[in-house]
Amino acid sequence: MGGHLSRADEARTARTAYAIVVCIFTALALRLFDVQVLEHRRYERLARENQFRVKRVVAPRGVLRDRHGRSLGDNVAEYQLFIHSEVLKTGDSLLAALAADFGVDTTAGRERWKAQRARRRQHLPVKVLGNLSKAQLSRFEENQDLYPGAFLEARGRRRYIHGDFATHVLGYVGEVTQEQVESSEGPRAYRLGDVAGKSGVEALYEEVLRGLDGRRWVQVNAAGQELFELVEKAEPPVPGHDVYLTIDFDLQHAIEKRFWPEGRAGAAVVMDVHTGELLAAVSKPGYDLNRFSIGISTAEYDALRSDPLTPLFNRYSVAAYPPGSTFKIVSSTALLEHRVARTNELKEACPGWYRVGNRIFRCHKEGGHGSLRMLGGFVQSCDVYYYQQARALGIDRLAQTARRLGFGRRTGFALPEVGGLIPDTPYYDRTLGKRGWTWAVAVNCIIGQGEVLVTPLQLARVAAAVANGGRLVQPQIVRRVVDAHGRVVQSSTPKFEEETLFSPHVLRFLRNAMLRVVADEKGTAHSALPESLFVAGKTGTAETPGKQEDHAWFVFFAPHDNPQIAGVVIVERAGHGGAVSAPIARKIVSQHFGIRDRGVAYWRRLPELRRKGFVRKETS
Amino acid sequence: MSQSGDVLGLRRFVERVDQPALGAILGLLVLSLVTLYSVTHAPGPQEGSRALDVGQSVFWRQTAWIALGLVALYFGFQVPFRLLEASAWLQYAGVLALLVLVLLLPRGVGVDRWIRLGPLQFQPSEFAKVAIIFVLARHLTAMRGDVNRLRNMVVPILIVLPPVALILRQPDLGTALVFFAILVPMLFWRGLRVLHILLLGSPAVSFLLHLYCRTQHDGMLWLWLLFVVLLFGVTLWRRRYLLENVVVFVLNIGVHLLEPFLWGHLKAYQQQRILAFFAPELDRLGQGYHVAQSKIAVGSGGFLGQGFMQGTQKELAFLPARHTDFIFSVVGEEFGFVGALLVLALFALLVLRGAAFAARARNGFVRYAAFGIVAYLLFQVMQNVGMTVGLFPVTGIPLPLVSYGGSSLVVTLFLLGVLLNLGTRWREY
Repeated sequence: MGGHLSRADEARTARTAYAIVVCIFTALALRLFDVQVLEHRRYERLARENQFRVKRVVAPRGVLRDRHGRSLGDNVAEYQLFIHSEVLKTGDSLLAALAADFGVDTTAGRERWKAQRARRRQHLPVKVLGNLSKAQLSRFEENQDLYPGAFLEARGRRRYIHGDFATHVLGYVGEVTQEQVESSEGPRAYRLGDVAGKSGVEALYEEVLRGLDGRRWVQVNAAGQELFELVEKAEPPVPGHDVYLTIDFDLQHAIEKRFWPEGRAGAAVVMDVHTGELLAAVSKPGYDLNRFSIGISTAEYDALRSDPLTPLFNRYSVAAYPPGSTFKIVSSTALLEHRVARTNELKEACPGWYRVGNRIFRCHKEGGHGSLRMLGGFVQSCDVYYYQQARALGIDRLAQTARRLGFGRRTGFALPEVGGLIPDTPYYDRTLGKRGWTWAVAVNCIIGQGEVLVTPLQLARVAAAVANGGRLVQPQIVRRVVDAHGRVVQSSTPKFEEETLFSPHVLRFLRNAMLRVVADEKGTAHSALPESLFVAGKTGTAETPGKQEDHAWFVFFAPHDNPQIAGVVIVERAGHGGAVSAPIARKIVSQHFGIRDRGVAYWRRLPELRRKGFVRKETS
Repeated sequence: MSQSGDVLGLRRFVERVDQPALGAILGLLVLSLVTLYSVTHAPGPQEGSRALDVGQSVFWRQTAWIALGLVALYFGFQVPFRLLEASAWLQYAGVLALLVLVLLLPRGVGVDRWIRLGPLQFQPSEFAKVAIIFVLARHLTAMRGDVNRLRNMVVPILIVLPPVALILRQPDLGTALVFFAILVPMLFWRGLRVLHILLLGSPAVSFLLHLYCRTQHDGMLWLWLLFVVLLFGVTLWRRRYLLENVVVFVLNIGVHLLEPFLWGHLKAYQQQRILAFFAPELDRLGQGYHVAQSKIAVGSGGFLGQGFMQGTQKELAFLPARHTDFIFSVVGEEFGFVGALLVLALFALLVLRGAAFAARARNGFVRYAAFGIVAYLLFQVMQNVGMTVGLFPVTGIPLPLVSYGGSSLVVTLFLLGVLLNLGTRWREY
């Protein structure tokens, strides 16, 4: 035993060794044959997929323009800072460096990555900073070596050129939600990180504005860098369509920035009486829309939400206010159309108050207005004149007329709106119980108080109806949609409700009475008269719950003899409509018709008013 | 020694040397240069990333290393093998000192296996393999007694363990495995039976089986149990080797119990490589990425290849380490099945010639040293090529003669010089 092998054993060992060597090389050769010859096609395909990548080209979003084509919301290149997700996996040093040099929020970055991982997108780069400033951009580009694994990407970002201009018309864009991603499919499907309209026209016209994304075929290397593009396979993006709003930039901008009293909340609407196009739709205060397209922080958003003036709230179509005396347009129409009163009928003297049972309803003029006809009651805004006829008219007939005039229901406006509230018998039965109320509710409602709630948009529409001969028009916010080649794709056409609202004599009365509100010596809105032409309107001073100041209303149309625009102004908790809102309306009319505004023109124009017969004794 | 007119004895060298083996070596070196030229010189579609490019200097440096390596080969051919045998223990001691030195020197990032001397840098582990081959050859020659007995295996194992332990500290698992890939075939050449090799290897198999079960969802422990029962059956049949049987059995059970502990001692990247090998689908972009990309490159080569300088995967840098460990993938992509087969054939020729030298030698040292060198070469080829086509896990073992790499190439060529030397002087006793 033992020792070295015999010659025979050596030969046997050598044979075994040769066999093993041959086996090894045969195995390797067979494996190569399998991979290179049998599976060649599969690996060839994988090799192609390796080097060619389809990259999406995001279509530029359509531009928002005013009615004359002035740009309100366009797109700018924004640089965003991304980091490769592998870097996040392995260490914090990069994040720490970026936090120190660029103020990157490291926890937010990690949160984003976690969110991506939850959606199985962990291999995609993570956005850690948006909207880099020029200084940050050059700093990063010069010191790129310090941040391995981080890179810049340019994306189009929505820019609202005037910041907080027409906030509640334009709306804003933001990143799509998970639901949007999941529910969309096909070539227009959303992907995470895409931008979509969130509110206003941005949301309403999302499908029109966003366009169709294109695709590029590029050859890439292992680092994902593009080497060259297969130009013949490129599918260029189709840019989104431009949306022309009905808004007149100059007018809306003047109202928001120059006419509006500092620090007040409220709304203003200016409408073309023949088409229903909104020349201005103001809700104050607004906020800078860019904060949303850049990406608003939670703290900023909370500050907006807790602002006592509620800038996020759209007041011109979503807010419902008590209309106050502006509602006398409706009350007068109801009284005349239901033949409860006639215009030339002289009523009992107004002592400044009115008694129902043991309840006293006050007129706004303490000493009373004396004995009045309807024109006097309307022009001087005597509450007692209307109180006296509330019982004869009844709450239901008032409500019926109000609904005919478009209150208590939506106007058909495309953006969000509410219908307001017009109470009637079923309403009171429901809320107060069948025996819980009396006809006296009508006393409050007939002067636009009590439960009556209207939106500024509804009131403007009624003013437009008085101006255009009694037709209720649907408010329009978009004038036309134009594609990238300048072809009009869509244009709005005026939509009217079929019915004529007023009998001829009622229309004559309302037009005359609204003119007298501005022109008559006893009218409540002298401050609404501009330097030339005539404005017709109605003031309102709506009581608000609690001891706060009244809402100041003014509803108007102009010019009186050939009406073109109608509108409404409400300034919340600001006092008398004639003192606060009527001057704003004058400035609006002056701005629109190009009249120089020199303050209250009434006394300068009194001789002219007398000559025209707009100031007469019988109004008293 | 040299005849008149024979500069440095080159003509004599060519006359005496085994020409097929030398031809295979030179062929592989030419292939290496051709492939490296393609890796470093092919024009990209456009300027790519600097970070991904393999610099053109790699080609010229490899040319210089090959020149130096050929000198080493000639030196290996000329050095008297009795001198190698006599100085084996001295070499061994020197190499151990170098390995300790590497551990003591200030460390670079992560892995540091290099010693730098001015412009030169080299891996002492390369020299360790040379020394191990000669020491083992000398010991196996001197050893009396049956190598199948455990007591006779103790010394060879003790020879191999110190360098392995030092290299594992570096850490370099792949290189450490190479030492066993040298030891086991040399023991086999000395007479160790294949069955006993399998039994000795069973704890490692046990360990790997365990890991395999770990990567599968439903704990496939029954597979391991089956293996142990099988082992038990074999040991019952070989009752003559009682002590050996007991040791093997204890080792297997021990591995079973210690597996979580051993696993915890592996480096994270080593764990990943092993897991990636067993379950590549778990890790497509991590460690599995290398193998997946390599297979894509090799597979897209097809039968005739994409052509010289035409490989897209290589060019676009999807192939990692394409000038070093994964150079065979470039060969596969550009020269196809035909080119890959040519490389394998040249290696097979070299290995079979070497095995023939070992088989016909009269002298024990020549026998074992030649076989050790052949085993070393074969293991590297098998492991490297197997890795590029997904047969073996990724280890940092280069393809001998073809991969770029200075000290490894020089050492390999020196060993091949010694092999040619042994093949020429096989008649000496």
